This record gives sequence, C-alpha cells and structure tokens, in this order.
Amino acid sequence: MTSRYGIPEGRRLSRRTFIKGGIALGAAGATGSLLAACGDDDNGGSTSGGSGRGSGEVVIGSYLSGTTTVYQEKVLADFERDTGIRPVFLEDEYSTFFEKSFNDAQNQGGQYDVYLLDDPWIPQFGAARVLVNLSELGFASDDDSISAFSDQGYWPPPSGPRIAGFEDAEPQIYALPTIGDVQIYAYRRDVFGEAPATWDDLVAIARSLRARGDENAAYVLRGVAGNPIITSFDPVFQSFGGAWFDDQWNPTFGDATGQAAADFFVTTLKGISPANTAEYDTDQETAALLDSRAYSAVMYSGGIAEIQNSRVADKFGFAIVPRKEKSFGQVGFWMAALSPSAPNRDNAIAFLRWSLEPKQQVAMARAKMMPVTRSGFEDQQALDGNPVLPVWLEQLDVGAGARPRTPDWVRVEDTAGRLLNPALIKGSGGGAALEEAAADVTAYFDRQSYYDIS
Amino acid sequence: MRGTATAKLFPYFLLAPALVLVFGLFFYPLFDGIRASLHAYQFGHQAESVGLQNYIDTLKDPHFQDSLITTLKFVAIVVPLETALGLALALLCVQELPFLRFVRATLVIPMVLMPVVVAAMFRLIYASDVGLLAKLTGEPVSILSQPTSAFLGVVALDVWEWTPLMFLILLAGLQSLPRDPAEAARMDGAGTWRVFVDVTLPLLKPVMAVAIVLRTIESFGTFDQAFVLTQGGPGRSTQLISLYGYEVMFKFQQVGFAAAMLVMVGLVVLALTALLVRLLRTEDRAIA
Repeated sequence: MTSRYGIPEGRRLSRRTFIKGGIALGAAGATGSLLAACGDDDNGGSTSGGSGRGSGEVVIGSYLSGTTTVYQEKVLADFERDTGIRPVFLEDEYSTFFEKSFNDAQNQGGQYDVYLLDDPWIPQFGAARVLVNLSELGFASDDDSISAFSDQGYWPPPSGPRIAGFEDAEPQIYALPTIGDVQIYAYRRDVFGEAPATWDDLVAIARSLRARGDENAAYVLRGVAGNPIITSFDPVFQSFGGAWFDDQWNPTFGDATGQAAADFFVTTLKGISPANTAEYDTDQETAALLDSRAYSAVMYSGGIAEIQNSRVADKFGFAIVPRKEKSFGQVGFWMAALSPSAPNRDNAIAFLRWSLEPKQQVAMARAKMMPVTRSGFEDQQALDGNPVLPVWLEQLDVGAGARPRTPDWVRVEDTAGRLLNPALIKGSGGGAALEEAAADVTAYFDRQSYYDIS
Repeated sequence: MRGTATAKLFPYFLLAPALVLVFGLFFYPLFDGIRASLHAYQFGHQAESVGLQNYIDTLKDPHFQDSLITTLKFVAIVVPLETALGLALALLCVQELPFLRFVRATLVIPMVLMPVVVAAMFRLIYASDVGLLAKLTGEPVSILSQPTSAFLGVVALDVWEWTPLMFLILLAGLQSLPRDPAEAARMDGAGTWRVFVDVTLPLLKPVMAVAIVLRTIESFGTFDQAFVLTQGGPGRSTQLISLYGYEVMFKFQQVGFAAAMLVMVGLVVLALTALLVRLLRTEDRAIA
C-alpha cells in the first residue's frame, strides 16, 4: 500500500528512527517519533499508524506572498497539532529569498530545513546540484499527482530539452508541489453573459461593447517590462501554438507563430485594454477589474482571490483561458525542496510527507487555494464553496504548462519582456520585438557552455 | 637598544588594529570582487578561471553599454540640477530672516526619508489612473509608460530627494566664508551679482567640489528609487547600471560577469572623480 504520493506505508518508521524516538520518549516523556516517516534508512519496522509524535521545529523558507499567508493560517496551522513539530516560517521578498535559499543550498548554510521555491527556480537549483534527491528518500509521483505540477519537481526534466551534463541522467525528484497555481480567465458575467471561448470571440465582444458606447476596457493585461508582461503574454503565445525553444534549445519564439501572437498581443489586445496597460502590474490589473474599468483578465489565483473577496465577487465568472489553437494557462506554483544542510532533516521530511496528505489538500481547497493532487479537487464542501476549483482542474487538463526548464529562464523572460514592453506602448511591432529577443537569447545561449545549440 | 626598538615599533602596534580593519573591510572585498571577475560559474560546472573574458564580454554586451549611457545621462542631469538648486536654496537660507529656520528644517525632510519610501510615494504620484497627478489633471497621465517621461520621472525623484544634501553642504560652506572680501568688493562698488560671481563662488568652490564629487559617486550607485519606481522600464529606458548589475548578479546568477561589470563601473567613477578633482585643482591654481 502506498500513500497519496507513493510513499510505501511499510517504510513509515525505520529501526533507526524508532530507536531515536525511544530515546526522545525517555528523555522528554514524549511519544514516539513520526519524523523519519520517509527516512533514507529502509530497514523496515513497525508503522506508527500515524499516532507517533515528533518534536522540535522545522524551518520553512519562502518568499512573501498572500497565498503563503493563507497557507500558514489555514493549512500549516494544523501541522504542529498533527505531528508535534513546530513550523517556523521565514519569508523574504521574492528575489531576496531566491538569493538566500540558493546561497544556503550551495554553501550548506543550514538556515532552512525546507525551501518553498517558485517552480521556475528548480532548473537553477537542479543544474547546480544543490538539492537533496527526494526519489532516493522514497518519494514518487502516482496516479493522484497532476503532471503539470509534479513533472516540474524532476531534474533533469522528464521531457523537453536538457542542458549539457544532464543529457543521459535519469530524472529524479528534487522538489514536491506544495501549493498549486495556474492561470485562468476571469470575466464580468453581468457584462459578457458567457465567457468567450476564443480570443476572436473576446475581440468581438469588445467591439460590440464599444459600439454600444461602453468606454470600459474588455480586457486588461500586465504590461510592465520583464516578468509581468511575459506572464500576460505566455497564455496568448502558447494558445497560438507558439513554443519558446526546440529540442536543442534553439529559441523558436521569434518564428512566424510567435510573431503573430506578439502582434495580436501588442496591437489587438492592447486595443481593448486600458490605455496605460503597459505600466500595469498585478495590483493595477486587479484594481482595473474591481473598479469596473476593465471586464476580464487572465489571472493567477492571487488575483482570483482578490476578486472573490471583493464586493463585486458575484458579478464575476471564471473560465479556462480563451483559445486560438488551444487554451493555455501558465502554471507557477510553490514547490518544497529539502535543504542539503537541514538542521532538522527528519522534521523536514515529515513536513514534505504531511503536506501532500489528502487532508491538507482538502484543507487547501476549502481555503480557496489550489491543491496539487487530483483528489484535492474532489471534496464536495470545497466545490460548494469555491466555483473556481473545477475551472482550475479543467485548465490543468485541457492546457497548462510551466515555463521552459532552463536555468536561464529569468534572463530569457527579461530580454523578451524588455523588448515587448516598448512595442506594447507603441501598439505595434510585437513580432519584430520578439524576433530581436530571440536573436539576443541565441547569442546569450551561445556563450553558455551548457546548451547544445545548433 | 632594545628600548629604542620597542619605541620605534610602538606606533605600528597602535596602528595595527586600524590597518587590519581597513584591509579586512575595504581591501579584502575589493580584491575578492576582482578575483570573482576573473572567474565564471556556469550551471552544472565548477567555477573556473576565465582570465579577462568577463571583461571582454562586458564590453561587447549591448545592455551594459545602454545601461552605462543611461547612468551617465542620469548623473549628468541630476548632479548639476541638484547643485544649482542646492546653491540657490543655500543662498536664500544664508540670510538671517526670521522664517528661514523653519524653511531650513523643512528642506531637509526629503533627505532623511528612506529612498524606498520616497520611490513608493512618487509611484503613487505618477500612477496613471489613480495617482495624484492624474487626480490634479483630471485625466490619465502617462509618466511611467513612456521612456522619456519615465526617465525624467526618476530624475525628478532624485532631485527632490538629494537637493537637500547639496543645500546643507553649500549652506555650511557659505556660512563659513569670511565676510571681509565680499564687504570690500561692495565698498569698491560691485553689485550683488558681481560679488557672487567674483567673490562668493570662487571662495565656495572647494566646498562645491566636495559636494559635487560626493553626489557624482552617489548618483552612479542610484538603485532603490529606480528599482521601486520603474524596475528599469519601460523597455530599458531607466535601467541604470546598478539595476543591470543587480539583475545579472542576483537574478541571472552570472556572478563573474556582474563583478567584471561593476569593477569597470568603479573604474569609470574613479576616472570621473579624478578628472573633477584635477579640474578643480587647476582652477584653484589659476585663482591663486
């Protein structure tokens, strides 16, 4: 029998940890340890049956976000009660946490037990070989896993191009999905009636609204240079059938498909968005929706939560992202990785295992967060309380994907985003901007020794 | 004999802690930075020595060139503006008028605010739809979404924040000037403008030189304001060299490349400072 994440039940308490637990029991009068439920010593032994208690703490590092705040309040709060281990949550600003966690992993600093990483960071950590191999600790994906999430925890990636040095390596799990997220489409049901199925439908709705004298924007996007604009562009780009790279890491986003998507984005979509959408980031995008200055957007769960918590929540509907060739939502979610110098290693492993248990997945769904296992989407109470839940699952099934698994994605995103932003301001030249970005990225990749670029 | 040797060495013993501190806190990071600039780290490989390759790549990098030009433009605009405004305010406040004590205190406020706070404040002022400027004009403004206006927006922020520093330094300079030369000039019939140009300004020049050099060095390193206000955008129009260095170092993890870039920027600042000092020395000699 295996747990939801494929951890053999028979390995839940090893002989070594049983002895450790006994010592702890004698010393502190505590109950036995559950800590090394998935410990690397697989000598077998009796299972704790979930009744064992741990002690001490587990230090979890993450970047600041509203989602992790809800996670701490609604989900993590139960961890100590369930296991006896006190969670200590350390948060930093996004870039600061990347820097701190990467340095901690590389230099074995021992500041954290668990890193809650953004999924595009996994290639950077993976390529640097600084995380603990979780496959060797017994973690494996199973039928309940959602591949759009679980595949991102492998290094090297199970599909797609790989960087030099990892061509023949067997993919191993280095991080586990913890809090899910995928882009979906939010729209004003009272204005649109039904969600547009395609981008062309959206443009037609915008035109009819304009013809009726409605001056508000039918759509709003994030146009700030760098990550924000690419986050808004990616679902459009991939729905057009665009691909960022081929199998040899040659940039393909500047091809005809990419250029068509970019032109549509900077000209047509901008034409139905607020005039200054090029300086919008998440906060302005959400404000435009809540102030009724715009009627729809493609959003991650943070924006969706703001809508759901607003006074205009009942006016909104949610659907999968409009399609061109297909519907596509970018996944961008939290993955838990074990620090190679974790001072509370057993507690950290206990946390990793606990976070994927069905109870926590249901708790996340009920707290209007996105579960990372399929069964988390099936709880009736959660479904009754959150109409977005089935939409998220549908998006994950019909079309969702992560950003390319290169350690240089941030550089790619920055280059493309900084060139696409002026085109968005002008309202033209999207295709040319993307072509220029592709040439820049090709030159950059050429300088790196780890791309087998041809 | 032995006593003499100890006496000779004694000053060095006294100096040793300070020297160790200087070497530890100043020279070691400097040398370590230079050492890092001669290495390259690539994902999946050990860091290896690459000689001057990072410097060659830096010189070839168009984004480095763009950022350096943007920074030079920024410095060339903000330093003279802040100097001129600071001097004007200092000349006003050096008068012994009753309300000026309050004015002096008020003028210092921008300087004591944290740069991040100032940047956030200006972001609210510039915000296209809900910002103060939009409210005042009654229609959306496009300061941060146009390259030129965004650049001038960052300049305005910097001038607002750092003019008080120039003001304070120059005010202190003005207050310390001897009164006799100006009075003698007036008795000889010189008007206010002539006294200012021929007497006050030359006497104030050494203080101004220090202020200008300080601000030049400081403004080369401007980071917080542009980071919060524009993130270097739109496009790369406000991407100062400090922002680009930060991106390369911390976001792209190209540590050696970033170190080479920052060493080169350090050399540019050093050259500029040396040039400024030399220019001012030459003028001092001419006056003497």
